[in-house]
Amino acid sequence: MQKYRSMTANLPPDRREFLKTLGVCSAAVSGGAILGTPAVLGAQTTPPKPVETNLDDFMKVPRTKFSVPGPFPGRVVRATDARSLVGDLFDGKVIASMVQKGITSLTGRDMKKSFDLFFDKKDIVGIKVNPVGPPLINTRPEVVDAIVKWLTDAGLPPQNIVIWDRFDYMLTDAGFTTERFKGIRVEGLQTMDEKGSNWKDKDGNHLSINNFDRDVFLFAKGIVGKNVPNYPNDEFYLNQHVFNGEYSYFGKLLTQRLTKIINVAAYKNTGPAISMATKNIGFGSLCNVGRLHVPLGLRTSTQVIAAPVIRDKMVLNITDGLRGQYDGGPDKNAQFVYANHSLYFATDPFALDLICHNELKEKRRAMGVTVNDNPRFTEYLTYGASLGLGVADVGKITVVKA
Amino acid sequence: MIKAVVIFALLMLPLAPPAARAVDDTVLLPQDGFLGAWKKSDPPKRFTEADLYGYIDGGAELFLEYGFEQLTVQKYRNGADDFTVEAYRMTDPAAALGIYLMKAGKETRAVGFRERHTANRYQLMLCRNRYFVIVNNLAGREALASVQVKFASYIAGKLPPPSPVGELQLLPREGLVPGSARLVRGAYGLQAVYTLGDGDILLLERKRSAASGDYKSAKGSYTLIVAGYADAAQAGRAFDHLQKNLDRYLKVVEQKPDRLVFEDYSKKYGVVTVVGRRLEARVKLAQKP
Repeated sequence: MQKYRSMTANLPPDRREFLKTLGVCSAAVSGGAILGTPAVLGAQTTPPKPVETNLDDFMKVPRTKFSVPGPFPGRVVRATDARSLVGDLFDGKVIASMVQKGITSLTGRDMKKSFDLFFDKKDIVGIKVNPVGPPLINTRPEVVDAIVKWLTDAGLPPQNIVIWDRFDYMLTDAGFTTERFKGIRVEGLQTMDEKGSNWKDKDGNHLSINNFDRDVFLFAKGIVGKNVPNYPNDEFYLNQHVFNGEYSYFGKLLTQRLTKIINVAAYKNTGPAISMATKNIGFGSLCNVGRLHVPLGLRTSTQVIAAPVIRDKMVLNITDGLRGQYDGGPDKNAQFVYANHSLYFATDPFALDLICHNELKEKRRAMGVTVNDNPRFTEYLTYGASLGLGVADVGKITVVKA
Repeated sequence: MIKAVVIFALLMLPLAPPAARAVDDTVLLPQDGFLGAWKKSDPPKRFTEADLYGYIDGGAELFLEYGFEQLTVQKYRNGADDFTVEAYRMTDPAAALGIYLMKAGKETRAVGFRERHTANRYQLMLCRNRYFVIVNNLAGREALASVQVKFASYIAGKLPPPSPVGELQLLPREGLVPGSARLVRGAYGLQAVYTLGDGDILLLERKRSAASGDYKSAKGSYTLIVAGYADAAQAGRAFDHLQKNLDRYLKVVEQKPDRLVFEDYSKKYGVVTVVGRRLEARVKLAQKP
């Protein structure tokens, strides 16, 4: 019986030898952007020290034909249709048409051949949504409807599809339920109790500790999820992050069940940066990431995508920009939400995020919001490019209108 | 001169001490049967500094930086319609105004509501004294706009009286772009305006506020950031800290004991000066000052 194992999770994992060689990330902070929950406050007064991680171990694993950035590095497709959102009404048929145009424009193939490019009928396909900020600025269920239809029309059994996010209750709040998506699995990597009073089992363990794979993780030396400045309640940290310590474990859903991932982000800001494709997967695939916000910042997402469990499975990114939010994100702030009527498609999440970052920056400017365009807020993208994960040079990115 | 003394006196007022125990802010909120039809649909939820992350997924740190004590959330239902009220008790009026200005952007007014606020059909945000309140009508039904205002009016009537926030008066009025004024208490607030360096680069320590605003004149545009400190020594320490930890994308072109000029990543300039208890940064200048 484990006695409160999550409190002592900085014990060595089962395969610690995996970490004999540590990658060193020169982790310049990505500006302390508001990255989701929880972040620790910038009490630091000196530049951050480099953070040692196991990135080098990720990089040693040979790539596959499915590895990010996939078959279309530096190619971003934008499908726009003003009929997709009128008032507050999303038109599922128009959205389905946009999804079809977007995918076929990206691949240059019809929908069936596009399916064959990324999947086979035995795949277990995870659709990673962003349920934060409902009902205004989350991934729309109508977009997921169209993706599910594409997959099932091509012969993928519905039970081979899993709509997922990190937190179970958020999926429900955003409309991702098994009642809404009949025959499809809907799963949170972990349970999360808003008030922090009902998350332990009878032995004192977090209810979700067995949902995470102790053998597959992002390690960050000396960065532990406890005793962090301005983070007064260690218990609550565990409620949200399941483990303390230097390890962020990937969900078993990803490591043991899913064979492919479609990343369906929302289109919104986080401080002067964005919370779109890279962050949706980067902070949603593993536990104990609050500790990484300040020392690694958005580079956390880059390193997570470099992990083979993501790199070799995440075959497609669709950013749901039917609505956009140019300030006050990543949670909803209606004052800054607008109809953008667009969906974005790419196999290269870094090119995709750079295009969307620049678009949102221009929107901020147009709306009279102060723009802080310090290059630090896109460093994580050029960092991804330096790791061979994508293209982060606007001059080398092709944007196609579908 | 007298005005400056008054402003600094206001700045030096001690902040309200943290609440020793949970305060029942439900008394500020409409009761069951409000307007004859609105019933509380759930028990109220309270969140403190320790668990605010449980309610706000992304952005709780901004509240904590400004100074947060307690959030009370109450949901209401009337048939198929839902309202959710969020009442944030901040540590002091400047903290409440600071978070309000960050969240409100350019204020848009609701008909028939006089409190400082901004409103759209989804959310009405208001600010008074140490409270920041959001009335959520997330279905966005236009027909409920007047109900949204009635909820807000009820709550405003229960809040303590308005309290002046002196820090915004640090900003000269001439040339100030309407709606651009902000209060800053640390890294997250400042990064919305400009990045001078990592962390709490102005040594505001979450307990004093700087003010910022965009300015336009015939000579051009720039952004002004002004911080007032308890004494000249403290201001000097902040200036020294900024000099030593200036952002890596800012290149120093002139450095004196009380003045720093830099060129930024977009070939614009910034100048930071310290005079007495006042530290001032003008950034995004087209010409070298």
